[in-house]
Amino acid sequence: MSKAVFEAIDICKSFDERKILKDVTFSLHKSEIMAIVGKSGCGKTTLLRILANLELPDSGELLFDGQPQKNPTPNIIFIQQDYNQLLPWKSVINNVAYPAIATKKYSKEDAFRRAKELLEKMDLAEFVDYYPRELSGGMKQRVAIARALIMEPKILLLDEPFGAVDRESREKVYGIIKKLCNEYGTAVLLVTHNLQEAKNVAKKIIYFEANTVKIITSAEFNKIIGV
Amino acid sequence: MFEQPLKETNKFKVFAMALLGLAIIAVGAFLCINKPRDKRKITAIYEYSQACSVITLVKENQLLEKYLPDDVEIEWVMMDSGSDRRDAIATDRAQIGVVENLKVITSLENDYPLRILANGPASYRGIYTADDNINSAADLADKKIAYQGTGAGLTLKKDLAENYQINLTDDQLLSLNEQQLIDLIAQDQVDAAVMTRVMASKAMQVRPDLRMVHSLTEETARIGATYWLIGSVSYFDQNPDLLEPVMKAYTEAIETINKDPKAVAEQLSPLFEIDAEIIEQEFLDFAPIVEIYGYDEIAEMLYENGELDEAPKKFAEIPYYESTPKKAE
Amino acid sequence: MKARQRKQNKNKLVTFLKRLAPFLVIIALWECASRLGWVPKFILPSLSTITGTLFRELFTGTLFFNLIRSLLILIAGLAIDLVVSLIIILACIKFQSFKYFYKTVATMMNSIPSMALLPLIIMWFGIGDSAIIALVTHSVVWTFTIYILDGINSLPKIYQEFADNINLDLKSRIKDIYIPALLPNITAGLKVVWGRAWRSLIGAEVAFGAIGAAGGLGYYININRYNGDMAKVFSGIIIIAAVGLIVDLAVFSNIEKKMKKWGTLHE
Repeated sequence: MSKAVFEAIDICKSFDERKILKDVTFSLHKSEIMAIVGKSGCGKTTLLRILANLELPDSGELLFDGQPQKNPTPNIIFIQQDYNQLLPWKSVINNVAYPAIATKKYSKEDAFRRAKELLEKMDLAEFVDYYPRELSGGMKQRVAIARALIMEPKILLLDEPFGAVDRESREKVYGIIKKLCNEYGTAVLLVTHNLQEAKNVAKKIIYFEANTVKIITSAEFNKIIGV
Repeated sequence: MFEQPLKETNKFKVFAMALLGLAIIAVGAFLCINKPRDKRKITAIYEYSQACSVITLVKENQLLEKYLPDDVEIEWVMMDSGSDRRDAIATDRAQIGVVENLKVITSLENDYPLRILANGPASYRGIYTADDNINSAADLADKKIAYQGTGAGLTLKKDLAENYQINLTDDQLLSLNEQQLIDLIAQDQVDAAVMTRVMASKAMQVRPDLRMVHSLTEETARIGATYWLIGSVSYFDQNPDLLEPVMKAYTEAIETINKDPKAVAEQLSPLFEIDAEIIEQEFLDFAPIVEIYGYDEIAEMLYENGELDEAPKKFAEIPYYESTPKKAE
Repeated sequence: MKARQRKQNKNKLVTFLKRLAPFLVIIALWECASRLGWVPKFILPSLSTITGTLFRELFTGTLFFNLIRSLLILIAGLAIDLVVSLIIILACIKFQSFKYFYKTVATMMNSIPSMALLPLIIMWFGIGDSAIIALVTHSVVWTFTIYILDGINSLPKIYQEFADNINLDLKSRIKDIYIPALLPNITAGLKVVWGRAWRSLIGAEVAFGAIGAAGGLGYYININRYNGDMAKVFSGIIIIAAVGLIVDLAVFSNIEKKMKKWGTLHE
């Protein structure tokens, strides 16, 4: 097994004395797609926010490439659940190209070229000049994913990204994400309450229970989903 | 209350009826407030200043009460703005008052319904300063000078241009009311100010180091500092019998001043909060008279200075010229 | 097709005429009231007289220069005020205790009309452009800063988290995230304060009487009221109103159109 690119060690978090996360420990490897499943409100989003360094844990450690990670970084891109995470004043293509241009990852021309390619893959080629306000929830999520992918992150954190996306588009996006993993070695951590989706996309499934996580086998997973 | 729900009724009719009801109430209220009185009423405007010294004396000596018929109720109203006085008389909210002559002429040119009743007091004016670098009019070339009233401004410009070849620009001139002018000269926010003796004595209470560096000539001071008694056209058209009593009251006030200026000065001094000697000196320098003079000369000056867009009417062409007391020219 | 086009054009014309009708009625009533003597001419000059005076004064008189003077002072005042506002906002962002203090003071100061401060302003600044700018500042800064601070408080956290996630530098955050996100608040604030500033400026000019060289529009109105020329007074008032309308149409409408397109317009 290759060395873990991302490790969470004994992460704990409480809100108002209510324990949300207790000693959460797991690791992510290069090109690995992992799903976190669990009931609504069990702390999955909180865990992702901590992994993205948007919130601090009460205790525990995060390691990225073996080094402590304490601040947000473009190497770990977080796509939130909120459909309105796009910048409303930028068109679709500008939204996607923006992070690459602003962080000087690509030149303007290259950024727009790559943005166009990603949007074509997302079936959004006709909508490049539209504004987020003019898109459906599912389309906005696909744009958000394209915006994340242009950064070619080492870790991609997805918080229930496919809620409003139709099945056909979802399949396409899965395909793109899998390709990204293979091409760039991106590791993906996908939070979902949709068990079938977890099974379709991820190789490993982390089951969220009693404020902590455990990696479960297929048999256990099938038992859970009632197969 | 309604037999049918309101939405089935013609909303427009309801709205129109509501408006009509409001209008009736408003008209009724207006009529109640303005119902014709049994007694006639005259409102006279005064101010505790040298410009209004004659009319103030009319008030203090109750001369209107002496000469007007018993059926006339007399009301005295204080207004310190000449424009406000002019507007009140033009709209018949007041019937007599004193307004600066230049303002009267420009208003008549703009068809304000005013009639000139009599002449008013004039004031001796000088240029005052607390600036050590200013010792005569010749030092005023690049200075900021405040003045009160268009007349003071015009005579200042005329006097300095003719006698000192100093052409003051609009940038250098500040037109203010009396209190603003006194405040600014006291705070050194202007270099000099054109002031009457009265204004100067008030200003010296806060700036004892004020001194006069130039006196405007008698001729120009005469033109630029005269006030006229004006009356409401509609009121005296409707009450022509009241014109003579008003003129008698005013004339008697003028005669009282000229007969014993010292006594009148002492009478007015506590009201004006000015030394009696200064008020007396003003009366001695420019004894008030009833007759109007200099109309055409002043009107021409206004026209030349751009205060009037078109050539002004002659004195003989103004409304009520025949009945206006005038000096033989 | 042509018949339908003709019908549509006819409907548009009818709608336009219906909207124009009240204005035409007012114009007709006004003209009759003055010309037929229902209202004395010196109180209400006819619209035709006012219109003639307005154009004459604009092209051959001083009205244009009075207008420019007022506008220049307004622009200078607004420019200073925006800088002052920016400094205050940055201080509020940096120091929470200052923010609480400032918001309390701003709320109190906001309720004081400019004219009530006039005696103090005259005492401290005299009578002149600096006094007018001080009054404009009072009209602008308290309100504008509160609009922006409230906007900052309600900035969607998700935009800031996006900026954090990609380690966006401060300059890019301000230029690409904060300013566009705050644009509704900036626009709403500017719309309110520019009107207040304009009214305070004109009011101060009228109160002061005459200021320096060709005074502004307030001076123009005052001096013509002094001379009893109501047609010129009305001309000045019309120009004041026209400036308000033009600024709204030329500036704010365009920004609001953009924000409507983005879906961020506060309505």
